[in-house]
Formats: sequence, structure tokens, C-alpha cells
Amino acid sequence: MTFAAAPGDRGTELAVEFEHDPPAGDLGAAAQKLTGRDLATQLSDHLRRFKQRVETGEVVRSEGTPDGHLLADHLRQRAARPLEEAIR
Amino acid sequence: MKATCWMGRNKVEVEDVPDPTILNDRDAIVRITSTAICGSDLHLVDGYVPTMKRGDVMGHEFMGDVVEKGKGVTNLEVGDRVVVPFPISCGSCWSCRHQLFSLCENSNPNARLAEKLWGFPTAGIFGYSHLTGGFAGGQAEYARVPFADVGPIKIENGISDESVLFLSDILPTGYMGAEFCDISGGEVIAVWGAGPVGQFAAASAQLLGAERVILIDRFEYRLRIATEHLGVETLNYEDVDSVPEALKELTGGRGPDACIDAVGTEAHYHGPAYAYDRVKQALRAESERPFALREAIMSCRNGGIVSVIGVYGGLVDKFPIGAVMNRSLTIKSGQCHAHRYMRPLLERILNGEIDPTFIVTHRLPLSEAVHGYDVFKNKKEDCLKVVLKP
Repeated sequence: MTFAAAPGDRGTELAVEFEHDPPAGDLGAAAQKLTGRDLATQLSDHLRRFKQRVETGEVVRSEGTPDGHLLADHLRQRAARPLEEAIR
Repeated sequence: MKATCWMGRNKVEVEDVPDPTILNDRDAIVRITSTAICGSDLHLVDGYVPTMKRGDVMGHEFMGDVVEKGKGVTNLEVGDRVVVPFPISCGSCWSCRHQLFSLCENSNPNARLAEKLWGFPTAGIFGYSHLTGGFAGGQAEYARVPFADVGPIKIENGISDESVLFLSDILPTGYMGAEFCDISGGEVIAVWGAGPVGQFAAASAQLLGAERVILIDRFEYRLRIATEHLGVETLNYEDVDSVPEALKELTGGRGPDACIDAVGTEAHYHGPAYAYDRVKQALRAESERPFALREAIMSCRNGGIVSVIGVYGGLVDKFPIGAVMNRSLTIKSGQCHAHRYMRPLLERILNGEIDPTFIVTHRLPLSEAVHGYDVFKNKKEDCLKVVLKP
């Protein structure tokens, strides 16, 4: 993982390099990618949430996506209306 | 509480939903005193914006009183009267620090959805599909306002709701459309669409020093409102064979210095071009009907500016890029960076330089929102703008 100063006042660039052997090889990798559970997607979710925490102090939640940014949740959203008590 | 909900294509209902609560420390809950139906809400109702879900609370133009706040909100107190801008913006990312509030990098929890469609994600917006975050909207009795320490502007005197409500979206949007035109005095500006945003774009162009403003529409009652309240010139496009030719006639053969598209994706037109795009849109081979945009480009003088504030969602067909390139046109566009304009425009309202109330034709209780959508969408009862009172 590397941190580098971005040009101008563009903040800090954070890069993550990783190696990964998915279970069941290429087929497993494709299956994971389809469901948003592959490592690259998870890392990108984590980076986005990390950026939110650093810049705003919190992970932003909406009524449709109450757990914050997770690609795997994008296709099974709740309706954008206030949450019932049980799932707040 | 009661809330206006999207229940499917062409189906809006006022439903009972749970009251909103604080989900993030920088949230506030606002008890809504006035809210409005926006032309862009019609794109959602008509089914042209993907990622709506049955039950979504609609509305992104609202104001009211703060009734609760998270521990991260220190600049507002319970009881403060506020107008809330439609984009949700964190105030601290690179885009927000550069005043590009509708491009906030942190406020859209569905950023990857927007990224897939548009290349990069945009900010969260209240009640405006899951592409812009899946946030509950403000055509309701209460709304949760994220980053309440950044967006809402306090209204500290007794001025009426209607005088300041449109700071939430359409007044800054119209103003930004005129600001794009680089008006320095003496220009001729043409505006497509005499809806609320087109009216405010025309008013703003006058305010910024344009010498002539020509407003184009097909509904006489909308053009009449503009003539009466703004004194701008009007052009009913159903009375002419070709809008670019008519504008040429009106401008000594030169064309307007800048053209503002305040129509967007569901434009109407007479003639075979309408049928071409309408059929392609119905077959989902093209997502937009961009007549106003094509006309704005073809009408603009050489080296002029085309300002696009009408909403588009996807892809257009037969885009006259040759005219743009060879005639040195500049296209400027964007969802309004509303936060940037709220305070200066509030000052202009308080000074009496602009009175946004002239567009309001319908005042209805929230319970009659369905009727409000019907008259606004179908241009019944000479409707130009509907304000709802929860």
C-alpha cells in the first residue's frame, strides 16, 4: 500500500496492490465478480468508505443504502423511504 | 408521516411511511413547511430515469424548521428555519472545495451505479432515484437532511416561504444557466422552455445584463406569464417552420450569442423529427429526445455558448457535433451547484431585485400531491408551478 502526494491541491493518492488466488480459479473469479464479492470490488468499496471517513468523519448512509457504499448491495436496495425501527 | 411516493411508472401516491430519524452525526431532521414539484420529478414519474424503486419518497425542493440534529451539526439550532439545497454535499472533498457541489465525491452511497452509467459518480440528491444515492425526498411532512452543517441556508426574517423556497433548486439552476452564458452586457440570449427553470434563466439573463432575452415554448399561457412578469420577448415554436431560422430573422442573421436549453430529455416538437426520436426512445434505442438541444446548437451564433441545464440521463442520437466543432461553440452544463448561489440569490431576493413567486400557479395541501402531478405534467389549469403544504 502506498501513499503519494497528488499534483496541486488534489490531496493524497492511495494505491493498493494485491495478489489473489480466487477459489475455483477463473470460474470462481468470474462468479465472485458477478456478485460484487471479488477482492478488487471489496477493496474499492473499502477505499471509498475510507475516503468518506477521512474527509467527512463518517460513512454516508441513505434510506435506500443504509449500510453505506457496498457494490454487492447496489442491486438489492431498499426503497428510499425512512427506515422501520427494526433495521435502523 | 405522509409522503409522496413513486409507485411505478406514471403512478404517484401519498402514503403513510415511518418518520425519518438521524442516521449520521451530521444529519438534521426538518419539519417541512413548503415543498414543490419539479419538472425533473416528471422525468422520474414518466420512467425516464433508471433505478427508481417502488415506494421511493419523492421531492428535492423543500424548506422547513429544524426539529432534531445530530451531534456533528453545530451551526444550526432546533427551531431554525432553513431552505435545503437539492444536492447533498459534504463540503470537504475536492469537488466541494472547488464549489462543484453537485459533484460531491462522498455523498452518494451508490456511487458505483452512477459511475457505470456516466464514467464518474455524482453527488447524492434527495428523492431522485438510486443512481443519486437512494435518499428519501422532501415531498413529505419531515425529511432527514445529511450534511446539514453544509447545505441548508438559514432564513432569519419573516419573509414568506414562497419567496425563498425556490432557492432549493430552480432559481439557482436558472441562474447558473444564465451565468454559463458569460454575459457582460448587450447580449442576445435565447432560452428553450418556459417552464419554471426557463423563466428563472430568462430573469437571470436580464439581471446579468443581457439586452434581449427570447423565450421559446409552445404553451401561450407560459409565454404570457414571461411577457407579463419579465417583459422578455417570446417565440411560440408552433407558429414558425424553423426555430433556428426564426431566431436568425430576429437577430439580423447572426443568431443569439448564447442559447440555454431548459427543456431536457422529454422535448416535444412538431414534424417527422419528433416521431423519429419518440419511436427510438420508446424502443429504448435512444434514451433522450434532444430537439431543444439540437436546435440550441443549430441556432447559436458562431463562437457562442450553449448552456444545458435541462436534464438528460443517457445517450442522444443525431447530435450535431459538426456544428459544435466547426463553428467554435462552447457547451457548458451541469446539475446546479446550488450551494454556490443560495446566499447571493437570497440577497437579491431580499433587495427586491428578483421576486421568484410569480411562477406559482397552484398551492395545494400535500394530501393532493397526486392532483398536483396531474395538472403540472399535463399542463392543465394553466399550471406552471405547484407548491405543496404538508
